[in-house]
Amino acid sequence: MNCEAKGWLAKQFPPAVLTLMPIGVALNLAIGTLVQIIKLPVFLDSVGTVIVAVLSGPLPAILTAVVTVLVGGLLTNPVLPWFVGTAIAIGWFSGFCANRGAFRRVWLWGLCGVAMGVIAAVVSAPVVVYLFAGITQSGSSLVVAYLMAAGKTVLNSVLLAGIACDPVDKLLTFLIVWALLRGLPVKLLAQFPRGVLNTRPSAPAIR
Amino acid sequence: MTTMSQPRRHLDVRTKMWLWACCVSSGLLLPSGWMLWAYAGAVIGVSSLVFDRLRPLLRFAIRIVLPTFVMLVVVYGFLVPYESAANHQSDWMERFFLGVFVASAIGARLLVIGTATIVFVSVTPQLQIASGLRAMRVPVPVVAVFVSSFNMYGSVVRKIRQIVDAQRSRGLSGRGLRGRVRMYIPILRPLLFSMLTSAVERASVWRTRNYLGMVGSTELEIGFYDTIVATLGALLVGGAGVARCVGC
Repeated sequence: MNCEAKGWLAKQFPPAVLTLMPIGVALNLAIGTLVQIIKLPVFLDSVGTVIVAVLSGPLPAILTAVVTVLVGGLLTNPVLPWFVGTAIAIGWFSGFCANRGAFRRVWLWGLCGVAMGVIAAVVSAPVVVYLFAGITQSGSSLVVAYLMAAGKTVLNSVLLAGIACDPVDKLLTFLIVWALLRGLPVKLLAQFPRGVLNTRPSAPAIR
Repeated sequence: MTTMSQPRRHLDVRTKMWLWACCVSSGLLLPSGWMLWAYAGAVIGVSSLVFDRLRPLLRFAIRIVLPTFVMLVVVYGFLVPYESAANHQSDWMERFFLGVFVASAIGARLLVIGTATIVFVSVTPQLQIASGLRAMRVPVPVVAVFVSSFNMYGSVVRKIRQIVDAQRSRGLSGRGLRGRVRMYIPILRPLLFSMLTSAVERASVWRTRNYLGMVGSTELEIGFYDTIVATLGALLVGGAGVARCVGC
């Protein structure tokens, strides 16, 4: 690897980001488990990815999301790695939105969450159709079953059900991240490359 | 005397990864029908022969495959409209068998993927997975993130369970959707705060050890002044030694 590539990598993945990414992965998987323990009717399995996206940008977020589905596939659910496309889309889009300043206003951030839900639904629909024939264990399968009973094709049913259900989940995810990061001290956020820039750009510089 | 766990000692991690990838991809590519079912049976049979712990396999089958199977039978067998080519009297039976056929095909695929993955994870330690990834030329930071996530997951889940148990013992049982949400929120902020703090601490430790987040391990390049200081130091120590010898 030449020096330029090495320098670029070092800039993209400084130590703070490298230590943040496993935390994002663990948060994704652990919050998914917590939601199952408490029996909430949502997934909330990308909170860690969105936190990494806000604090470090899209590339670390994509890597976090990919490692999440791989580790999750090995530890919790073996079919998780097939949703790697969805994970990449979530990482990229949340990083893109955060870098464009969407995090600074809650309504804009919520709008990004809804858009994220639509994107995730579109990307994951082919996998759900091929791997599960449209029916998974999630609550949205009831909507899929209803639409299929109404005469829609499997792909259309999965797509429509995803577009109806995923935005709620992603909106909640984005709002939870917003609430969590707003409560953190600037001094802590300043340790990460885009922490202050994306969350509180008007905050005084930390020395 | 041969033991059940013998094969895992003889297989290289790359061979294991290759076997796993072959199992999963052929399970995905085989068309629905007797070939897929036979293949799933073969994979499960061979796995249960070489793998002495069946509990994770059973857990996967009960928690993931069985509910999906039942839902598929219900949806494809009873809910989806199906136009029969034969007479209308056998319509419900054809629908039911279609449901069972679809559910069996999907179930067989899931069983192949799940069995291969569970056996691979169970017989491959984390360090071996990491060295396999390195052999595949995956960059060191990615491998580091992978291994740290693997290690961190268990501790985070334990921490969350502790918090949930503490909440329950204080009477916050979280009945109803609203109660459960109220129970969920106070868990997250302290958890995130402590995890981010630990990330910052670890990053500072890495920086102290001169690891700047580049590929590879810690690098300490010797600069011009380092050479001068090292030479002067060597001269000083050498001179002291000579002086001591001459003095003697």
